[in-house]
Amino acid sequence: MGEAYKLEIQGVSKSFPGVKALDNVNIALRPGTVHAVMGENGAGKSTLMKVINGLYKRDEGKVLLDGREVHFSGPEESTLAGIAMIYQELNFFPELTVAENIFMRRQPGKKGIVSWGEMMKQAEKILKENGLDYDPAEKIKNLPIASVQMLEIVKAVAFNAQVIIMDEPTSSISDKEVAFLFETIRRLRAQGISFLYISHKMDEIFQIADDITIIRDGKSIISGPVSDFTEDSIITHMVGRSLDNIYPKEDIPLGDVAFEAVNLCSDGMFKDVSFHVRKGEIVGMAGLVGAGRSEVCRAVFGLDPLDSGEITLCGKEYKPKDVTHAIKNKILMITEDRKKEGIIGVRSCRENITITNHHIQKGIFMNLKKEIEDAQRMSEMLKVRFAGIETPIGSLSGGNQQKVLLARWLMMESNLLILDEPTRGIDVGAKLEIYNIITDLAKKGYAILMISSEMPELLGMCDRIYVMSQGHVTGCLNRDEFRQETIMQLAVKNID
Amino acid sequence: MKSKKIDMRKYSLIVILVAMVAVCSLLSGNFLTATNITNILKQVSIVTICAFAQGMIIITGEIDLSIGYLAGMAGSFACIVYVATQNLLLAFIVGVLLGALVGAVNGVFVAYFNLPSFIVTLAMQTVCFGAICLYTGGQNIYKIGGFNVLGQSYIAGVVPITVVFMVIMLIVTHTILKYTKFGRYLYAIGGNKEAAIAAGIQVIRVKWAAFILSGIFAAIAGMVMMGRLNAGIPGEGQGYETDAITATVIGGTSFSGGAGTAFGTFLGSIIIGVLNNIMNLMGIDSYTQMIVKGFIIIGAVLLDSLSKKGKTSIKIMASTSDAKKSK
Amino acid sequence: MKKKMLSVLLVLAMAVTMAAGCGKGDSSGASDSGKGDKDGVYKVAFLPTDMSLTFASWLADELTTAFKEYDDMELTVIDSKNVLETQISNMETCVSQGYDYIILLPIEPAAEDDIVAGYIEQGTPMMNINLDDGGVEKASSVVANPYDLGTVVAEYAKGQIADDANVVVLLGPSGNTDSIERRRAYEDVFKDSKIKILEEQIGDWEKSKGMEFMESWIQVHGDKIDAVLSMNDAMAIGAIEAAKDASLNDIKFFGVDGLADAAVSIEEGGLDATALQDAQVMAKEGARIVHEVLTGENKEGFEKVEIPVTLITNENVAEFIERYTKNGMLTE
Repeated sequence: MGEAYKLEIQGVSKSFPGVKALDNVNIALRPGTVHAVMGENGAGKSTLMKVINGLYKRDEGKVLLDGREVHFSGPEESTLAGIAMIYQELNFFPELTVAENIFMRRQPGKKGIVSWGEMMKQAEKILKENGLDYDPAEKIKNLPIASVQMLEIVKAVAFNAQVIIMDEPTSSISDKEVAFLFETIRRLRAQGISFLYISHKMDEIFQIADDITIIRDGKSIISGPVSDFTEDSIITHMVGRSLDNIYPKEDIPLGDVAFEAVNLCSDGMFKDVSFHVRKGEIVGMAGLVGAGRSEVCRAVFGLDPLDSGEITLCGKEYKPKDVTHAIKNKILMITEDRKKEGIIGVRSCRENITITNHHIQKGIFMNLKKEIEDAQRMSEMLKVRFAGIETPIGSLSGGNQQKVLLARWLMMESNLLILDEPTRGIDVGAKLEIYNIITDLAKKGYAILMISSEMPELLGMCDRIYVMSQGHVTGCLNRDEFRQETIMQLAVKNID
Repeated sequence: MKSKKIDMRKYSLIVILVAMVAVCSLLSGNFLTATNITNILKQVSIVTICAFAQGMIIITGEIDLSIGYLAGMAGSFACIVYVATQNLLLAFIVGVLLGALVGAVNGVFVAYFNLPSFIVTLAMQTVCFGAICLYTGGQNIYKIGGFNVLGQSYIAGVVPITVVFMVIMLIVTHTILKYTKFGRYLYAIGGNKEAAIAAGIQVIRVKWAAFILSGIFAAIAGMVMMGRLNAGIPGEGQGYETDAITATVIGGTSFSGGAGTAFGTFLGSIIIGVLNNIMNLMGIDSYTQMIVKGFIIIGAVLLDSLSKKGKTSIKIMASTSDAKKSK
Repeated sequence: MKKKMLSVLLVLAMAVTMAAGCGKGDSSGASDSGKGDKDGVYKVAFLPTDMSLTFASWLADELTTAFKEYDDMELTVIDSKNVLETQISNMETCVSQGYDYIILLPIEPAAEDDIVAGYIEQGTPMMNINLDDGGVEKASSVVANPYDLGTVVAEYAKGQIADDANVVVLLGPSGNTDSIERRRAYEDVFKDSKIKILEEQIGDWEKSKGMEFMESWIQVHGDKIDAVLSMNDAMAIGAIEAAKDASLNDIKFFGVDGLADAAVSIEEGGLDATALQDAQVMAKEGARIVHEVLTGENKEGFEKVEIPVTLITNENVAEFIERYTKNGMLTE
């Protein structure tokens, strides 16, 4: 009891009808530190946030701020008390200016009339103090996501936040931006501001956190300074079992070349991109965001335009036309943005699984009985966890959504399976299952092309890795040449 | 367990309808009689056919405001053809083709040129009305003779032809939505257009076809309407598009697209029909009727949004219990 | 970039047309004082309520025909699609475009009176045709009095139905002058009878509404209904369809308007009587007054006439069938 905590959560429980979302959770946030809260998706992290700011009423336990128990009625009150929340999905007004967003609902001025000059001046000052060189009159929609996030933090600090709670802040920003974000966090930490940092990205935690609390199934499993943990021990605590090697890579004899692309070009996107994939082979594509990896694959799949280049598919010439054409030629692709271009959220898993299969079948009518059997069989095969095939896919966790989408494609034959960021936003347990599925597919002779921004994933899973930079392929490495440094060098290589 | 939500929604409409019928039969002794029920069905049938068309379009996440005027135009034009040729089949086919044509024009702009359907179909309203008025010189078409079998005759002496049309369209719509690939695509496109494209669905073609279908439905509704009115009156279709929207929304079709059923729309339409009927039977004056109708619509939409809120709380539970199972 | 170019072009185009429009307004404004164009032809505008309405388009046709008789007048028809706001801005446009005379088929006379009076004051003579509440002293007026229309049918109906008959009433849109006046005429004519109104509803002039109400009323009152008093023909004819369907053949139906649909219905034995506001007579009178005012023959600058209303029953319906067939309102 010697140490005074900034924010303390003592034995908090919260039940929803039929399920205990939080069960005796304890977290103690020391002043001027970054405290990481880790756990799989659905472990109770977001419920915890809402219990802290009062959106949910806790059933049991205490929330102490500076040693005093607090009961907030909602975010407004908790913000006033100095606790700022920065959500995964950012709240901002794209059409308004930077200054307006900073001063949203606290515009300087009298009697409801905003003093614009004053607001701009103050905004500029706040930005300068925090080393952000944005124009306060710029519209938010013109800024990159990371900058908006930075603004949120700056905004919180400007209005006297003592505790900042961040939910998966790096899920949508690039590595460079992450570095900048961390710099900001460190600077603010030095000023005595405390952070509760919710994440499941291992490398980040070791970079930024001072303490860690791991949550599983709504319970706080273990707490301690970061030095007490290793990557393996964290994973073990998070999933509740130990993992010897998370990548189930197996040596599979490679077959013939299934897919070969020569000199693919698309104006302004990529140029002279050549690569090939063999049957049974998992080929990776590494590179920074914007290197043109997704664009190449989307062009092959018929989603984006392709200006020139030749493609040979199982010995025959192939010209991308549209997605239907690609599917008929057995080129399949899991797109990068699951929410936007993957799932049809309001519809059932059954429909999401079978939609494309219906599309390539002949006739006007569907065979509903066979459809149910197919959906059942596929989801059992991929071990999708849901209440049943009629559950709307939008209500599943990311990992299960991804499995449903995989099921959609696995119903069909494949010459080339493209996976664009297959494990993005998916928790560790589900990631493992997806890796297993991918390995199984390779064993069955699938030719797999995998784009990923997570280097360890590529290193662990692939037989070969192409590296792209600025729209060009800058190198191709075999498994025995895999080294993070080499890939990084190729990924940042300048093209004249 | 899993499909409970959807079913509950379906049953909730039936429960509301049964409750309404029970209350209405207490309020008026004339309500629960064969002729009155026939009256109600007759009166809602045309709007309901329009609502089936509107429902399919709303499911794809678009809207078709041209339905009413298109019905007026196609119906009146079919009357003209009938008067000129005395050939009912020919008149019917011309009407259907006209509906398909207007739907195709709507669809070209919405699907191929990606214009907002709200604007395109709003503009087509005046095009349709202008076209028929130009042709007739603003006059109605009278003495349509045998054309009225489309709206005034009875099958087997008891079932009004309008009701038969409605039931046929109900079966057609239900079949399309539930059993055909096309129907499945409509839901997919309305649920998430980008994802539908990435799943290989030819969104443009499907949308185009949906508008053509909507046009055909509207034309059929228009011809039945003119048959029932025993005259070709271009302006009579006006307002049917909004009545159709009301029926579909009460019937549980989601305005954001991706959800809705033919039976829901049917029930929604019947509910409005019963409401109108009982108020007329009780001799409630026009102004009070307007107020009551307005509040009933708000009530139905409120019910819809409340049941959706119920869904989100289920969602939270589902994901947490999900995590539990994954140990 | 392309978009920007396009918008710039559009703005330019608009500016040019506006400038041209202004210039035109100026020049014709100058000629305004001299009355009549260079060629000595008077520009007359007719602003109907809604050209998709049977009566309005008929009146427009008849006016066009009537104006052909005069080689020093030229008629332009500008539709307002039954939107008051549109009609008011159309008036504005006509005045600024230098029209010499404006014939108005008003949508809401009471709302437009002040504006009409203002333009007359500024030197553009105007006429209310078909509908006039008498609110502007110096406006010409050619009307068939809606009250008279009601009276003519009501008088006839009184002779046709029993003194203690049960009737149902179909009204026009709420607040509509025609409907209110016709209803008042019925009221006055049947003042002393023991007639009983079973039901009364607003049918918005629509045939389908008339039909729907009648279906419900038959449901409630069965064969007790003796007559349908409708404030226009379309609703009455809708009610006839409903009665036909229920095989009730003894009900009498009375409407107002007397257009082609009514004539056909009377001929077929559906409608019993209607009153006609004769657009042909109206148009001829209107054209005459306009000409007299513009040429200065009429010193006062305005004239108010009421044209007689005509009762149509199965006795004289043949005459109207022939007439409507001739002028194209009826085919065959």
